[in-house]
Amino acid sequence: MLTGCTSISRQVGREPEPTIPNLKISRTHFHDILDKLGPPTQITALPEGFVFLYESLLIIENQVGFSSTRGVLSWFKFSFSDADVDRIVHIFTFDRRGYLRSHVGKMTRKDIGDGSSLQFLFALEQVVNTGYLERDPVQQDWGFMLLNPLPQILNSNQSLDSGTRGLEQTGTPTAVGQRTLEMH
Amino acid sequence: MLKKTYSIAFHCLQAMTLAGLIFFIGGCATSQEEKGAKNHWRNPKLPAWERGRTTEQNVVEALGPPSQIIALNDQTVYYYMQEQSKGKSYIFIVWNRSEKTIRYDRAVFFFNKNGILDKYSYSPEAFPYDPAP
Repeated sequence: MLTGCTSISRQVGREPEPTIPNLKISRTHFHDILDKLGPPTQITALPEGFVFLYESLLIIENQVGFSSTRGVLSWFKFSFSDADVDRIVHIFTFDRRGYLRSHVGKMTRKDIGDGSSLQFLFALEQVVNTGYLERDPVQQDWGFMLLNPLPQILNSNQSLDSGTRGLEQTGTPTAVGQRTLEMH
Repeated sequence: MLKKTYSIAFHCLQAMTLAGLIFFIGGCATSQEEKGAKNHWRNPKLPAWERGRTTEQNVVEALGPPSQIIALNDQTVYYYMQEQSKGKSYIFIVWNRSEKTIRYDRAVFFFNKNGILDKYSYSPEAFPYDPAP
């Protein structure tokens, strides 16, 4: 039996600092946040102000493969894999004047699944589906929103991608909340 | 005794052949992709933005259409973004690695209700600017 190891990693976005010092509610202005961290990953308006979301992801999938020296089986490997995601998120809410109302910053590691597959010996394929974590940022698709399928167009006024109706972390399931009306 | 010597030699040859196959058949690959607005905000010849004077029109003329326009309550935000992804893969059968990094170069501009610049910001991460169209 031959064995092999594979590591597949995906870094999405630049890692913000896990903690941000000197934040003062009602005194820190959004200009200060922009000067410290630069443009956020997402911005959205709220009735009482607006929100900045900063986010970065590191997805790692490790695989162990087993093969055989017998005949045609030697050209294939049976792989077991496990994937985790490290996420750093900061959410800042501001009032209408731009002063900080609340902040939460969190660094988490989450197991996002495992799997097994039969692959060609020289193949390097992901087994765990992480496509939902690697989707394009909302800014890339914003100009094409009216070309989406009809259920999404009808919901566009309430869309979380419009920048005026809230936001969500990358990878949030589409079967909950506002997204259910889009019938993904 | 002779049979044992031949057996050891054969196994050594087999191990060397396998090691050779691993190192010579293995391969590597790279990929690169770019999406989004061209990062004209990194153009060193760009005039300096002036808070309280620069208008939405000035920004659009210099940078082109934004990736996203956001209507905040009393402000409008022009959001520009360029995405670059780079990937590398190494395949040596016994050890394989694939890595992909996606980075963003961003610029945001906040305008008041009169369309005058209130604040702008660029991402700490900057991609090299290519003046070619």
